[in-house]
Amino acid sequence: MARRLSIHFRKPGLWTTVQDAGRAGHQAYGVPEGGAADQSSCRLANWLVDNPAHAPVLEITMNGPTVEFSESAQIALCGANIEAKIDGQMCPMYQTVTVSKGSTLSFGRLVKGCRTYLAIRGEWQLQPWLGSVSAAPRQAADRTPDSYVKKGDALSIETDDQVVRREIEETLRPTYPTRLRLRVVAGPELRNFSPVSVAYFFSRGFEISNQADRMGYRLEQAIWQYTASEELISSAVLPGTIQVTGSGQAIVLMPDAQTSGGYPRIASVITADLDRLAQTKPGDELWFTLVNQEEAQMALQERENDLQRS
Amino acid sequence: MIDMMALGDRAILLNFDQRIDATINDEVIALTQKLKQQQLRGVLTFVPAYCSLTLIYDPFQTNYSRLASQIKAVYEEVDSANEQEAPRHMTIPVCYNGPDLAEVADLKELAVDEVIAKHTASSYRVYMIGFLPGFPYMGKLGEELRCSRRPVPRREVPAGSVAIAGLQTGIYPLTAPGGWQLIGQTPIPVFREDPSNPFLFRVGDQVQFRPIEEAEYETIIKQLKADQFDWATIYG
Repeated sequence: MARRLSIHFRKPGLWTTVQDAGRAGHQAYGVPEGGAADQSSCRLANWLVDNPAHAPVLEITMNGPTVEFSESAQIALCGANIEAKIDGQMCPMYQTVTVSKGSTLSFGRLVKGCRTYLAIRGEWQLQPWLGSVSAAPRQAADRTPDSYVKKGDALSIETDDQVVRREIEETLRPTYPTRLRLRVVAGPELRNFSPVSVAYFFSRGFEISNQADRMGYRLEQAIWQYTASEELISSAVLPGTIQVTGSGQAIVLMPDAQTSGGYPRIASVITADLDRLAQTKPGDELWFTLVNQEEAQMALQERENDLQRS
Repeated sequence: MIDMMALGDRAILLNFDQRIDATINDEVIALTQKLKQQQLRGVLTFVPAYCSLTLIYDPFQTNYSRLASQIKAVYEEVDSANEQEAPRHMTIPVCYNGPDLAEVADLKELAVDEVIAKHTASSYRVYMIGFLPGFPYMGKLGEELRCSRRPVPRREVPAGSVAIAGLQTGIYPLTAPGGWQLIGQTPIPVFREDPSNPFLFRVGDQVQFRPIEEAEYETIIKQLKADQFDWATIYG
């Protein structure tokens, strides 16, 4: 029996947005793909509530919102552990949870990871833009007015009473270390970097600075012996592309990054590792390992197999 | 001659001769059109730029080496002179009242009227769209108008601002931070509500600016609001 559920945000959290698989296909018009930064967690959470894999979810960043449910609902949380609680009691992650009418979901301390994904069973009633309800780039935020969560906002979801209980076993739940290796393929301008600069890039960890958001993560430590060549003529960049600015600082691009740029591209994080990148935050340390196209493809296939298995 | 390279593990970058040049951009557009016609398996999106073309693909349906050989075969057959769709010509009305107009005139040792005359004298090509949804990078300006970006970007450039930087000119589709020199304002929305047709420009368009007074600017705004604006005045 269909019913309408409203969720009310008593507190918005640090950076809470609605995300789905994004709006691919408009990069030629300057529109970034966007979408959940950790697509695996998004898909798993949706599966746990039997929503389509790329149904909308709430992407919650580091500091969570306080959400009141007007009706009972089935929810699931995957991704970072931000001490989720229902009416003050610990709320388990990685399983279907039924919340009762009038209950409140809140969060505590960030324990692990960076972003957690809240799936709620049902059809989210939101204004899409270019086929997606992912929060549009900030300057175009009014195209997706419901997708940037502010205090006092409410979201409507058409849901039903179908009860589904699922769980993802512990061994299949990702862990989120604060120092990790990301696999990258060579960037188009790698060959413009000196051997010392390249060696430096691959030989040590880079700390994520405080300038880290859905557009990009700026890394500390300038690359040694980096001689800034003239800026390149703008061409396309993708999430995962690692640009190096004039001062030798690297920026790892994220889903809301601009679609073009003029900085040299030293490397690109492989698609299979973007989910893990999305679970890192300022202060964490990234190491880069060079792989080739075949290894990148295999990694992507492995990731897909793992997701299917869960 | 193009240089093919992987851009990450789901895109292939084709670099043409690296210069901002209409003929090269024509080649980019011709190859884009030709490749689109091929409907290559797994190709999702084309991103043309000044002198490069990026194809984003689904790595579950194809891979770099297969695409590279398919592209190579097509490239060898393209003749840009003949392959092109005719470019669209557009005339954009601009009220030349930008906050940086006087400064630009000073810098270039021109009268304000001369800056306007030079900016409106020729038509410019849209070389690429990026930075913001719908932002057209247009060029090339004559050397007499070349100026650098502002040393301190503005936190808010109003939507509709007509701007110049280097040998490029552009229009801010949305209110956004920006460092270009603002010389005017257009009432024409570069980025529209209409979801089926949100972007005014596309790569290859030829754009000419037409100076208007404030009165006409206000009239156009009213007409747009009332859905009575005659778009034929823009095209053709």
